[in-house]
Amino acid sequence: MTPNNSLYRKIAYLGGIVVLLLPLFWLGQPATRGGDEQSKGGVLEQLRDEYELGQADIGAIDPASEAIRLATLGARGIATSLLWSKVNHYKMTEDWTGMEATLKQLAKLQPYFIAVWRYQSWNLSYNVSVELDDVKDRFFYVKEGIKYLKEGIGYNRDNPYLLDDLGWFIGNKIGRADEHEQYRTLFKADDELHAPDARPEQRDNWIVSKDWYQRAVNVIDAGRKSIGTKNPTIFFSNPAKSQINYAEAIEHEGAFGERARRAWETAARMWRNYGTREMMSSFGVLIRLEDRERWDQELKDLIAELESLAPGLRDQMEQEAEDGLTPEEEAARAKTGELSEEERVLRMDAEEKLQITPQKLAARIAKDNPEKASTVRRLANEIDAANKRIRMIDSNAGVSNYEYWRARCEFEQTPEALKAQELRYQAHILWKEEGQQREAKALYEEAFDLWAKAFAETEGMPVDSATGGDIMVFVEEYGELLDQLELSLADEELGDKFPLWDLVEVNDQTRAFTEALTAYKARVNAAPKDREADSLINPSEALTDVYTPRVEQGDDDADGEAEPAEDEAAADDGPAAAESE
Amino acid sequence: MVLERQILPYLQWLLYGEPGGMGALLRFVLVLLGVGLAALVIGFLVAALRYGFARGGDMTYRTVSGGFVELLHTRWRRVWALAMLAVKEARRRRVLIALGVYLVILLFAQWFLSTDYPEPARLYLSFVLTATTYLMLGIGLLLSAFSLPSDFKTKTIYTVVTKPVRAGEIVMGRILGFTIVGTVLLAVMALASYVFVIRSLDHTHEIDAAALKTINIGGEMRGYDGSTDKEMGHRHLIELDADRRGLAEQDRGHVHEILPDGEGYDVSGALGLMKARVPKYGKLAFIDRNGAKKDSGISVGYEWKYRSFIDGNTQAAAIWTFDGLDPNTEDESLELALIVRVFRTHKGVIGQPITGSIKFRNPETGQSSAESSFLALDQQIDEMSFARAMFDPDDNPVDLFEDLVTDDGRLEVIVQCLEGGQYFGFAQADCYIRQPEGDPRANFFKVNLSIWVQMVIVIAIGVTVSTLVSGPVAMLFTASFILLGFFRQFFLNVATGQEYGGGPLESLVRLVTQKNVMVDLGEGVGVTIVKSIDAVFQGFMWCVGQLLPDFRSLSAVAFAADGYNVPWDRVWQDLTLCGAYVVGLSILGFFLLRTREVAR
Amino acid sequence: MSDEVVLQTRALSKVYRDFWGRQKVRALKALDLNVHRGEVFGLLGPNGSGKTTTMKLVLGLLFPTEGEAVVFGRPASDVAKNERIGYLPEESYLYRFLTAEETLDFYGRLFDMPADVRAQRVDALIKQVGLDKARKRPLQEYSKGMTRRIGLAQALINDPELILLDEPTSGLDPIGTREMKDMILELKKQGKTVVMCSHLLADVQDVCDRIAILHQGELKELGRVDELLTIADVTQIRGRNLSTDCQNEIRDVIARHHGELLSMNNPTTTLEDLFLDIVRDSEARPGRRTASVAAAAGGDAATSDESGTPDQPAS
Repeated sequence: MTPNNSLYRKIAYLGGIVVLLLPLFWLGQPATRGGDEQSKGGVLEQLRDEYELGQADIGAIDPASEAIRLATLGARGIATSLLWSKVNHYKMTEDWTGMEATLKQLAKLQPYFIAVWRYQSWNLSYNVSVELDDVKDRFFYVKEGIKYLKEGIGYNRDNPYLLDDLGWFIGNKIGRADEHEQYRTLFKADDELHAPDARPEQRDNWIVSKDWYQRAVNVIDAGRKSIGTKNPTIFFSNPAKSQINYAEAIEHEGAFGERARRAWETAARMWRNYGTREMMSSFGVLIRLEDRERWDQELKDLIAELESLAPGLRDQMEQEAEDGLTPEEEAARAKTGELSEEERVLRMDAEEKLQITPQKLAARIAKDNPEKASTVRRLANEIDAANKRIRMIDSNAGVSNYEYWRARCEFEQTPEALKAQELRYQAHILWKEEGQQREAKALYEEAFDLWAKAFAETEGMPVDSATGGDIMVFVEEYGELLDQLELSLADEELGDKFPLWDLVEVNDQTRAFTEALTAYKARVNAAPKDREADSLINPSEALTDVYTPRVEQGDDDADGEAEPAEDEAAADDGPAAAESE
Repeated sequence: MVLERQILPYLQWLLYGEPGGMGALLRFVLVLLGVGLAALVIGFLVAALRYGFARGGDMTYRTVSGGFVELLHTRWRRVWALAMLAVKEARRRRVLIALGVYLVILLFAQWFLSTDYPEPARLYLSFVLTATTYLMLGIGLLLSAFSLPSDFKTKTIYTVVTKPVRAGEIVMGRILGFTIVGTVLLAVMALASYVFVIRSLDHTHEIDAAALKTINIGGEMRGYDGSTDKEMGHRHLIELDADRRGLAEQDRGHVHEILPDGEGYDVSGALGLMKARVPKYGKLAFIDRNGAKKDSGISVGYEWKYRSFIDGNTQAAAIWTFDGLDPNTEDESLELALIVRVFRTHKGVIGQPITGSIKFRNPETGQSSAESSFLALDQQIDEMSFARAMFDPDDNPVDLFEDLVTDDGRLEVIVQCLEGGQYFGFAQADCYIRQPEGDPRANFFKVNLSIWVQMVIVIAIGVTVSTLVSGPVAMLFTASFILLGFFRQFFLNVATGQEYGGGPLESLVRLVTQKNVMVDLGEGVGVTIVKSIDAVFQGFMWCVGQLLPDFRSLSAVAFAADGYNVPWDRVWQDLTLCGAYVVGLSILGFFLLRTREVAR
Repeated sequence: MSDEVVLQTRALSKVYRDFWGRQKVRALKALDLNVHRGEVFGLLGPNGSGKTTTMKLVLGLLFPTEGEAVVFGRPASDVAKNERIGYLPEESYLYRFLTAEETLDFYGRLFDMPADVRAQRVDALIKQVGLDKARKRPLQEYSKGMTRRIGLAQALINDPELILLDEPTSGLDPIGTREMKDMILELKKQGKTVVMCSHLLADVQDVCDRIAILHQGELKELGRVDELLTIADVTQIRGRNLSTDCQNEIRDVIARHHGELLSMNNPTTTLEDLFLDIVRDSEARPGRRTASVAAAAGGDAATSDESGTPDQPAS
């Protein structure tokens, strides 16, 4: 090789390298910020930015985490497995400090693995906290779990699961645990968990929970993340539910009047917003929970339209059906008391025959008047669609109990309900702290009256709901107070004045008022009720007697009215029956 | 502190062992004989295969007898020369880098440790001592495994072996040399870690004098109370006397002294961060809810069987019998410590601790004191002081030491839970008599001594193994020994069939067929074959398990971390164990080296 | 040379086997040797003939397959025999991180020498092998010759009675070789026994009393050097200042006695002697070598016929 050849070769290589550098630069240049020059960087950098793949887009970049991940020299999987088993060991040997320290190391090793944050924060807040006896120690570990979760969110900024979990911990664990009184107080007082300038109302755990839930919802709304496998009905209801819980909680703790009303008003507004949100139902169709009434109305109109095509046909069909019943079916249908299996089947068949559905009606109309067949078919299809839509909404609304909470928000905003809460609170204070039993009794009774009024005023507010349960607690308090005064609800005077017997009948789980209830009913109803009230309840009978499920006629007041109706009917029978005995 | 096995007095440990077990000396002799016999048989078989039975037998005999004669000719000057050589070699191999590594670990530890925990001292101490342990074991491993094999490779062994050096001196010299190197490193690390812990945990607080409230009792100003500022995630409550001196109450395991400083206050650094409690343990027995004596209480469903429980508001009780008290003592009180594990079956009154009762009884006369009640602090050490002047249940005065302690120094302490539906859990180490506290620095030294023991054992193993095999193989072998040593209990459990899932072959079968450990493999020829092969493996494992040092139980880190004194019995036991390993392994190494053809 | 047998091998054999016990190499076949006190014994042979194997067997670094080696009446595997022997290995098998002093001190300790004796011997030996200037430098900085010298020092640290040298002169320059040979002869004068193995025949010839020649593990020849090398039927006469007439007369005498004159000419000195002379001279008088210098250097190696410098033609 002559020297010249060697030199030319070297120059050629060098030139090749320089040429290759250009596309490399174009592809891989990092973005520069600061100063006047702001370059977006090479192609890769721009792509990274666009698809938010950069580490900084996920969350904080932590040198400690990077360092320890490098230090494992590729054995990160083994290291994490060892650390997990260490965590389990510490948990078993009740070494909470060691467990927590190991959890921190684990988090540093796998900061982007969501399951670690979720599982271990739950471990701390729910499992470790209950192993301590002192409430302050328990709260400490609940707080540690919350802090742990917050740290996870720092690394994974927009993860809806973590945000949702945080809302759950702060809301549910602190607000619903057995120790919720102490927890709520400790939470409010803890400086570490709030911004330094946070006002006292902002420090309430339900409000904070609502904020976190809202953040989670915002992430989904902004389209930054997908909701994954979470149920949208529950997910989107969380902020509003927290607000509702807040309103309940402050009323429990002694906030009334305008403040409580405002809280319930916000809750009602948030709940309605939730209802008007378009969400994916479990059937794969987008629905709005608020649309239920509209669809009901639509259904009614369609049925009316259908019936208008053949007026009087319905009654005619009903008559025909009744005539068409077999004697066994009639007998089964007419029988009261115990039914055998066979008789039950016969009865169900009879009921089915007697029911004239729009489909049956439409078929009959089409058969009788072929020229209306197409119209009828269209109507039938639309009725079907409407029914389906109603069913979908119902099933989802059932998941979050949409209708109940909407009614509840209205209920609690009524001046009667607000006043009733205040009176009850005052009654409790008067009784427990100042020992003025008679005054307390009076206040209780006033509160119950107000509640009865509120029940009557609010649509769709059944007594068998959670509200009933809450108020039942107050009734029990009242019962205790009466005991101290050596009175009882079984006494005629008090029992007749008491306006919430239906509520008691449904909600009395400790059966403390059975006697009083029986006495009341005895005064008001006929004898047969006594025996049945005394004996062990036959579940199927209990259902038909006491709890009337909502029928498809959309009659909301069925529950409220069934009882009085029966009572009235019994009342009618009562004196007569009593006389006949 | 969790003490899974009682620490026996030294002589009892040496000669008799735990009840039902054997003394350490006997065990050592048996293991030595076992190993010796096995080595003899193996050596003979190998020689016989190579050279024929007669010559093989002759060789074996000469090796053994010659070996014992040579053992008697050990000269300490030679051992010392070889030890110094090992030290120089270690220095050349830049073993001081280990200190650099340790320094780096300490520096970066700050990223992962914080003082926010309820027991920061525990965390810090446990961290530095564990890091020291692992590093020292690693150093011991690397030093010892490569030294002799490199001598063989570079043939420098020739010039040594052709001097009148006994093989045992080579082995012992190297063990000694590396031990010296390791000791120096350990001393530096121990000092560094002590300083690190103290510096990280020490802090002080500020007191806002204006925020203090005065305590007035009966119109007289008796002092002040209030709280310090928040530092390192906690604050203390303060109680000062009228002279404005006092104490910042215990929080996170430490207190501060407060002295007036002009208008303000001077708060000292943290005191009592590192403790060395000296407990006097008793023997625990139980009485069940019907009054019957039992060895253990009931289980409430915890996986960890360390503690057992007594029912509340029944006859159930936990009874500790202490021995060795002095009925004629002049002490004014009995200092007791109690750790209660509270288990509630219902929440009771939220925020209120469960009440328990404690009383003392004379085990011979049955005379007892009246019950005194206490509020159970869950999972914390409750330090109680009982004045000797007590009353019995009939309100007659009774003296704790004269009346309730027997003449031979025994006393019973009876604890019960008073609330129905709640349970107290106890282990034997949960109640003890508090003796004057020891010096935490001496305690730290003792814990480091246990680390030293572990290191020496690893060095001895490494040197012994390296007489036979090459460097990397020796390193792997020693590393396996260390690893198995950490899991010795598990290893022995597998060997004796106490673990679910059978022996190695059965585990492999389960892994491949994806059957977990609880599934029965069923009957069949295959299963029988697998189990029989496993029986052989397990026998072998059991033999190996007898040789393994139990590093987990050798580690005294828990003592320092939890603030308990390491009893001298334990120290002597560890040192004896170390000596046993060194002696045994030296003898083994000696024979291995002697039978090795150096120039091969 | 006394009759006491210091080293003895009886039917010494060594077979290298592989892991499975199969025979691989037969390194030594039934060697029988006796080495007497005070003699210098040489083991000769080409590479792979078993010389080093024999040495290792004698030292106890290898175990014999058959037969035995006995040193001072003790078996080779007895470590106690090492008190009285010294061993200089072929390569330097010394710890390279130690200095010369430390090395000798270390080996001295291995002989259980008390400190004062040790210090004295270390000092003496270092001076004896001429490493005084480099005594505090670590061995890894030494040249080959220095390494060999320190090796020899450690072999002599215990003032042994039997010294075993493995290829003592291989790799040394002529000066080093000469010094080594002088040392061996010195040792012999002190009454020590030396056993050396080598394949450098000239060196063996110079120092050894008896030699054994090995080939492929078998002993081929054993005997005294002078006896073996003497050519019995040839007489050699060397004389100084013999005139031409004298030479002619001698020629006649031989013819008269019916002898055969093989050659009569000027003998040659050895290249070694010439080399050493020049080097010694060069150290004493640095600068170019001239005829007068050469003449002044003189020396009994030159005869009257020796020419002057390479520059001048022979006269």
